[in-house]
Amino acid sequence: MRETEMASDQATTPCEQQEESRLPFLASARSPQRPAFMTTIGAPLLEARESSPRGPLERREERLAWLMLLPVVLALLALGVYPVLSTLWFSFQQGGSFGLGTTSAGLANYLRLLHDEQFWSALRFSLLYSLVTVCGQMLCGTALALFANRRFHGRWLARAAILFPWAIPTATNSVIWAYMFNDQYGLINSLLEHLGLLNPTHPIVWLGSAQLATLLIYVLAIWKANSLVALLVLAGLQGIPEEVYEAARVDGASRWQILWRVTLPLLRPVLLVTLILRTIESLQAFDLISAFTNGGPGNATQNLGLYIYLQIQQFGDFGYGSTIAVVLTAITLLFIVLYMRTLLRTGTR
Amino acid sequence: MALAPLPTTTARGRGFARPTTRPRGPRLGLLTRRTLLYLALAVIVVVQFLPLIWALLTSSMTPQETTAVPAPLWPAHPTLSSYREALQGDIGRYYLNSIIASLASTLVTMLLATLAAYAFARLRFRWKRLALLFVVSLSLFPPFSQVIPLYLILQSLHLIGTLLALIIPYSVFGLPMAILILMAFLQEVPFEYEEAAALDGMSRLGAFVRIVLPMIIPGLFTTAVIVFVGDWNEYLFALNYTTTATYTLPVGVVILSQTEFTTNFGVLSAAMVMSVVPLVALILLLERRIVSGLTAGGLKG
Repeated sequence: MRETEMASDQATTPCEQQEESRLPFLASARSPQRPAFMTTIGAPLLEARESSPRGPLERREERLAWLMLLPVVLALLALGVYPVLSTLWFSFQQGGSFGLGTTSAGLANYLRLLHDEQFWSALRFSLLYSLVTVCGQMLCGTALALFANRRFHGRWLARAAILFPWAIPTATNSVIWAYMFNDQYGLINSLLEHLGLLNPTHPIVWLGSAQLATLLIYVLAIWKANSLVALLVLAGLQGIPEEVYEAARVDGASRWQILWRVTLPLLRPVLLVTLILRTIESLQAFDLISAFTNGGPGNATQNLGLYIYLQIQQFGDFGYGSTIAVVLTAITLLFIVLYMRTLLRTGTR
Repeated sequence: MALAPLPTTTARGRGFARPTTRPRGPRLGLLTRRTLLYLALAVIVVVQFLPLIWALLTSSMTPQETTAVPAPLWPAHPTLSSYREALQGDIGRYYLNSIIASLASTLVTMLLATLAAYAFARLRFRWKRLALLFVVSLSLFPPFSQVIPLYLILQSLHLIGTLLALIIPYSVFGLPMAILILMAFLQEVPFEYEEAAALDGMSRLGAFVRIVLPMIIPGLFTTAVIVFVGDWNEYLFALNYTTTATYTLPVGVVILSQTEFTTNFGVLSAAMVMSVVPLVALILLLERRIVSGLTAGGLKG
């Protein structure tokens, strides 16, 4: 083992073990001791140790801990857990605005789902949206991260550019894009006309066609969430020790070989976790689509989120809205379990 | 540069057999590689900042220019009147709502999260991992699974249409991410400081407040920025729990753009720029810290 840890082992107090648990990517330099797959997400989760307290001192520590946690746990139970359980309960109640909880509907809401064409098309859109955009985000994000990880003057600009789409409000951003693709006043059509590629009397009605609108939503979603993938991958890249690259170079590997045989395999755990997180997030998409097409044209770009919102806002049908929310939560739950399992497995190696 | 450069000439053959201690390629090759790199950087910067660039241009156009067909690509008579109009009209109020709701909830989130993060990062107690698992998994649940019951709760408290209807949920839903990020920063503080404090007769809480907290002030600031951005950009709850008087900026912008066909694009663009500029400034200032903070939080949203 390393000398630093050996040294600290000699003076180990019960609490000192915690000191080991640090996040490698936060250390200023590349830490050569830490293999790449120990980096990033969920590290606090894995490294939180516990033990049953025995002495009075430990018991006092435990009491203090729960005291400090109390507000958070109570708040999350009240506004996090209780609403989720209520939603489940509401899904068995008769709909109608504000008339909730009076009459039980049994399984009626769920049976209604089976024959609801609009629900199935929303579900189809949600799943396809996740598949396409997450794949796109993983590809573009990883490429961005590999680029920003190179050493050159102005790298800070690349990193700031990566961060920008994350910081801009999704809904506001969608409005900007909707205007850029406006068939009359839009920048894109105007640009095409100035270049002579488009006849001004026949503008492209981008958001009027189901295929084009869907395509643009994909592009927008990939653009927007690139940054999140890039950030995680960047952290993963910085966890790979320089020696690994040196060894590969000494062995005569080309850049591509290093990428395919060294970098990407070492990044695999990070990529996997990112993939799951992005999938969870994309299943919950709402503001992006709502502000861009609002589900249109027709219902062509309506996903589960928009359909739930439609039930709540337009029909005031809290019961049926809750039912769709339960379906969405169930799908998400699958990925949450997958996420936890992946974290625990990659963490314990 | 003092850093070891990668070999600029790549091995032609497949496999790893070729020795690489060969001299680097000709100077010209290096130059074109650099040029390509900066060309790629330029493309990335333009693509990533495209909406901001577009909004900046449109917001400085006159109303006639924004509705001209075909749209001009460049403002002929740059003007700031759109900003003035935006600040004086409804958008100014939405802006203020956004600031109040985000600031207040960031404050509450940070207060609660700091306590919890210290317990998770530094104290030993039973069921710690389970508690942490609970916090993390809750942050991954879709907000749709909470939006209806929360509406009914807030309604029974007569809070719908007030800014508290946003501040309360924002404060709570920002917690998991903030706790994870703060834990990462807290774990960076060497334990010896607290030990020394304990030897001097200080309590755990005292050591936390007087010694550990001052050491993670940059971490606290970074976390607050990330939480703030999350609250500032929130849309679903804001859309459901506000009325015209309490719209936040994103909700206001979307509703204006969807309902009024005679909307002044310049004013809307000005609103977009105003909603983005403070964040961009923070990013440029704190770029490296935010990257590490976001990664620690597992990058939700």
